[in-house]
Amino acid sequence: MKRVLFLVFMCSTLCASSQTYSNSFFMNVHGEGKLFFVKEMKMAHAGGAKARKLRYDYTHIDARDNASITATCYTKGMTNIDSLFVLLPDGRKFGYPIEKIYNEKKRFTWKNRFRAYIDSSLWFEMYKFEEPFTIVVGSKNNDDILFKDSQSTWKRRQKKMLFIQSLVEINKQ
Amino acid sequence: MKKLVKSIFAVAVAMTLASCAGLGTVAGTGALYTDLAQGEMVTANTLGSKVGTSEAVSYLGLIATGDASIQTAARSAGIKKISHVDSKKSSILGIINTHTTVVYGE
Repeated sequence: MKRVLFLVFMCSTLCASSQTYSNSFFMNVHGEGKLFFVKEMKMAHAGGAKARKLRYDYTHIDARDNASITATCYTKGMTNIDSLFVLLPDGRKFGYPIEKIYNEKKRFTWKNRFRAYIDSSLWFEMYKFEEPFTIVVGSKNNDDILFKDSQSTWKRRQKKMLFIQSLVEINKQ
Repeated sequence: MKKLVKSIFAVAVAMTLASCAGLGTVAGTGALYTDLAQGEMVTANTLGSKVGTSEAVSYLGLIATGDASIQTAARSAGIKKISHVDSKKSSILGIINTHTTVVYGE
C-alpha cells in the first residue's frame, strides 16, 4: 500500500512542472515575431455585481504593442459588458474598450465572452507589484464587477507570469 | 511478496483505466502518466494571432464530460479563419484524463 501511495505521489509531482511552467503557456513562431499564449487562469470575485470567478487568458505577439486578455465573465442576469479597467496597487487606473465575442445563457447564469487589448507596457507592469491588481469589468447597466486574486494565489501567479514575461523579453527580435 | 503483488495489481488497474479512457495519441498512452501535445490539422491559412481552447475530461474511464470540439475552441476566441489545430492530452494513472483542443486563427 505504501508503495502504491508513493507511486501516485511520484506521478503527481511529475506533472507539477513548477520551475518551467511548461504546462501554463504555448510559444509559437509567428509572422510578427513570437506568439505567446498563457493558458486560462481564474480570478476571484472581489465586489460589485454578483458573478463567478473571472476566467481569462493572455495572448502576446512581439510586434504588436499590446497583449490581449480574452475573458469569460459569468453573471446572474443579462449584462451588456462594454469596458475593462485595470487598477494597479499604486492607485493608477487604465481603461480599455472590449470586443464582444459572444453572450449566451448557461442554465442559471449568463456567459459573457469578450476580449480587450491592453498596452504591452501595462501587461509587464501589472505583475511587478507585491499586491495583486484589480480587474473591473464595466457594463452599460453600470453594474461593474470587480475581480482580484487573493494574496496566496497572487504569489504563485506572479512568479509564473514573471517567468513567462522574461521569456517574452528574451525572445524579442 | 504480498506487497509486490499489490503493486503489480495497482499498475495493471492503472493500465486498464488508461486504455478505458481512450486517449489515443500518436505516441500511445503511458500507463502511469501521459502528457503530450500533437497536431490535429492544418489549413492553407497563415498562422493566426488568436488562440482558442476547449477541453473534455474523463474520470476513471467511467465518467466523461466536456466539449473539446474545434468549433467551441474557435468560438471561444472569436476565430473565423482557422490556421491550424493542435491537441494536448494528459492522464495521471488513468484516473483523470484530459483532452484539450487548441485552435489558432484569425
